[in-house]
Amino acid sequence: MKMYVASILGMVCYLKSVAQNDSIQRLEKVTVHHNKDKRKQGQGQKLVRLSTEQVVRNPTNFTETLRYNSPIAFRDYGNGGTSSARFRGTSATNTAVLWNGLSINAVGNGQTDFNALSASTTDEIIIISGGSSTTFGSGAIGGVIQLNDDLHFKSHQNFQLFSSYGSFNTSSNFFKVNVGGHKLALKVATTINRSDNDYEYIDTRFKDENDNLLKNENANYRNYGINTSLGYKFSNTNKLFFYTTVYRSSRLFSAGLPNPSSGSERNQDFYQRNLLKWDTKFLNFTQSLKLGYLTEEYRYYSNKDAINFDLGKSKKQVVDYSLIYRLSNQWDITYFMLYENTIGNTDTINRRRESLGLGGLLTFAPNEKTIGTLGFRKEYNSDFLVPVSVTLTGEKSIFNKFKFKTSLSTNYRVPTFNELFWPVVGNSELTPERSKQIDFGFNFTNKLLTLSGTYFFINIKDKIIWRPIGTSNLWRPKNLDDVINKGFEIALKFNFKVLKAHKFSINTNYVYTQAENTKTGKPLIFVPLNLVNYNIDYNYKRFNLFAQGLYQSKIYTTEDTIDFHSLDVVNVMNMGVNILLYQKKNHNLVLGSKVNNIFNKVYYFTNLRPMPGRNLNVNINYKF
Amino acid sequence: MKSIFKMLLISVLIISCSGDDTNIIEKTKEIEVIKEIEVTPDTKFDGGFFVSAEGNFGMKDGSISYVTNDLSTTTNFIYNKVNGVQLGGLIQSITYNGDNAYVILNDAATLVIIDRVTFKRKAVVTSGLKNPRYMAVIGTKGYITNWGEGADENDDYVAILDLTTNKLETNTISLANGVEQIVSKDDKLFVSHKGAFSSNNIVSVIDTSSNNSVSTITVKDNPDDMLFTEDGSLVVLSEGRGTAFGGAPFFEVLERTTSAISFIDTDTNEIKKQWVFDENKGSALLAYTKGNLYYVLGTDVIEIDAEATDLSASKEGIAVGNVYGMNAKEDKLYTVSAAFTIFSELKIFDIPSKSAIFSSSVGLGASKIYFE
Repeated sequence: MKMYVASILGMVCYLKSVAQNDSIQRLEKVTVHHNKDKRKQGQGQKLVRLSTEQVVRNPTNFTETLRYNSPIAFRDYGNGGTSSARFRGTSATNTAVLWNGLSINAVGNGQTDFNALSASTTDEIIIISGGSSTTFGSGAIGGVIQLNDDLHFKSHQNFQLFSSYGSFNTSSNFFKVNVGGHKLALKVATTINRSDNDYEYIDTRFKDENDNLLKNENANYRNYGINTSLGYKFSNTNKLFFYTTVYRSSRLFSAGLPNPSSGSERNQDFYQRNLLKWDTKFLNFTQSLKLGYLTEEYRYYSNKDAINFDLGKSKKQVVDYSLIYRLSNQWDITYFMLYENTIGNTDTINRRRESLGLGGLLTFAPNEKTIGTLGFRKEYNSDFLVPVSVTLTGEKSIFNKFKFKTSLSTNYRVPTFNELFWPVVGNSELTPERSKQIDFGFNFTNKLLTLSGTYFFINIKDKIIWRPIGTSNLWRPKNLDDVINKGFEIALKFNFKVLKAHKFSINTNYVYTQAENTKTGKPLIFVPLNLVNYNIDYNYKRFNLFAQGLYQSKIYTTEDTIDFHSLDVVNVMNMGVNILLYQKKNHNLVLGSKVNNIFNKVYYFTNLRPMPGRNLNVNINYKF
Repeated sequence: MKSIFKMLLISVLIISCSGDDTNIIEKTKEIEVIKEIEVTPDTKFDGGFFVSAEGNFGMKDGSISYVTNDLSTTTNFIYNKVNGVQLGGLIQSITYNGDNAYVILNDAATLVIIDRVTFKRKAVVTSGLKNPRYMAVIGTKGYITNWGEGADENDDYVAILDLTTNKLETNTISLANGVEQIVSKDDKLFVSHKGAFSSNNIVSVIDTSSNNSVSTITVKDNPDDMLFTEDGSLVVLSEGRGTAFGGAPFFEVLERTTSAISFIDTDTNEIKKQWVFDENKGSALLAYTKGNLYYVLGTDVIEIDAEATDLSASKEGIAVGNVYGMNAKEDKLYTVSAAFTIFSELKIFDIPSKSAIFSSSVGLGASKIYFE
């Protein structure tokens, strides 16, 4: 029996994934004074925005896009495996992912799989560092990632076709259509991605029976997504939007080292997300009503050829309402309400959860350079008590170049369906994880440079941890730990020209994270002390050359902090060229090529899951 | 029983799916690692004994420890230290033969062949195995039991390894459900059928001198540990099959079918003697030294003369705690504690005085002690 349990674990533990590489740039979002919907803008917090134009440099999957362009560390099991975020050293459930404002973290495990998400069909990716449960609810502790679709009410007709093909028969593609007039706006985007993903493991310490290098067998994937958005403007103050997205993914889960040929797992993911949004303004009120219906399903086959699979399914109905009342030029009051009715099913769980979150936000902007907010949120949940979350933020600009930001907040993460209800080990007595957080940062901007630095401090109490029961092989979640994550994030963007025609830009993120379990005094697992990513661009006329890289310091994979359970430093670099082949009026055709892992380094993000060696792709990006 | 397994499976599934936050070592008790030796490429692991550890669930981090004979040093992760890399799987068992140690990685369906003295990796078998369990040797051939799919009751087999080429032969020996341990005597192989995901109650006998013909001996439910006594009898420990369980989380076996120790005449395949445990009592670990058998009952190890007629001859137990593996040699009893997220504790007891004389931390999930 002992072996049985362990072997099953071995089979199933694949849930994470990897990425290939490309580059991107980043813009510091400037929060507009008196923005329409302040509660979506991460007041007082660090905010990074990525666009489609930047996503095309790292098109393989969303993990890769974020890995080279955001302050987030990832743990993944290769490009075909699953992938989870550890934002500021927090666990995978402590990053909230939102699609057009609706939370899409999985109902079952509370996480988002960043390799099972069609991010390339979205127009805008916003990454907000730090806690914001007052605004976004459960899970917004390490940070929030927003995926937004844009609709414009002006006469336009834009198309974009991106296609890349590369090593291991890997192909990533999307096609976007944005058309509209003064009344109507439509966006349709599709994406298709596939790969044999059968790269050679270049770690020569492992060989097969015939003393050859091993290959990443049983690891192919394919997925596609369709994203449709429709907006109708009745008037400047009355707009209706409908968003829908469908995604299908089928992938084999590699067994990794030492014997990839033993792999036989398959996983399918499906989701459909629908959102109807009605924005209106009257007098001094601005209101937004969202009705959402989200479904997701996974099918896990331990034997890819078998008929039997493990099923997980969920449905979620959402009513999200916000009302902003403008008291004066200086004061706003926001009221918001979020109702969710969630039904989760697996082979053995069949549960329903209702939650109602109520809150308010008071915004004070005495002048163009100063803004402060005070907010709170109370959630009523059918499964447990949720603490009130509170936020206090402030931003102040000085000399037009400096901006200071600060945020104090309390946040939470509710227990997931799996943690509560999983047969045998589910713990119905779990309570939400609670955090207290401080952010303090600054931005400096001039013509050449954008620099931001943010200090953060997070103390999470009642952290839910799976631990073995007594000496048995059964693991069970409990509100066990008290953890402190502290450190700082630095983002730098630097542009300069040499002899006018030679343009350079440097874009880099550095995150220092000290994450410690205060009960054991041990560092948290899979949290790098130092994380750096960078993109360096050189542009000359129609020619672009870029390098991008990632550095991640050694991490421990268990809390015993011994070398046997650690992953070596990651230091990987990619390089690419882009040539603007054709440019006329609205036509813009770029041909690109990229070499990933140009120095052919052996590197790992999860034990026994080597990443690909040097590999190549060519791509075409045509906007018309 | 099956439903319990299913539940376990599911629980483990979910755990591994949320594994992010899972693999945290909780040291309930600090166990000193006895002084380690510095491992160099020239280190010889000779004269002492080995402890294999399964590792943490799903982490594929099984490891091997080496203890010098004078008990002055314990060195963990020796394969890793010699080869600069993990074995990469759950170590189910190790078989020693000639110059080699054959390490079976169950979850990785892999056999790693290493030099028994230097611990350098020599060869690997990555195809032809499916849930491999144990290996026994006759002549120049190794015989490896395989469950196939754990839930499939009709695909169990013995794979045959050519020890001169380190390649599997294409033919296999099909056996009934739930093959587990395998031992050899002369030309015969004996396979206990613990039952994999379900249950079985036989020992298969494979006659390698007769075209691998198979006969069976019926014992009590879930036979697992096997050994030979000095007079050549095969001793088989049947754990019994759980039929009623306590509630979550421990699923303590409340009721079980008969557990027994069976003595088999290896010439006739007849059961000569069978010691039956009291109703709903059972043992899962068995060892033998100096004419005595040692079985685990609860948290005690109990000694009994192998010549005894029944279990009433059992002597007062040695309190060993919750153990996951056991072996005995001369006057000493060796146990490893059941621990999967912390280092296991290796303890050595002096049998005559029933006192612990040595303790050291060894790998996570330590399960077996090898004197070869």
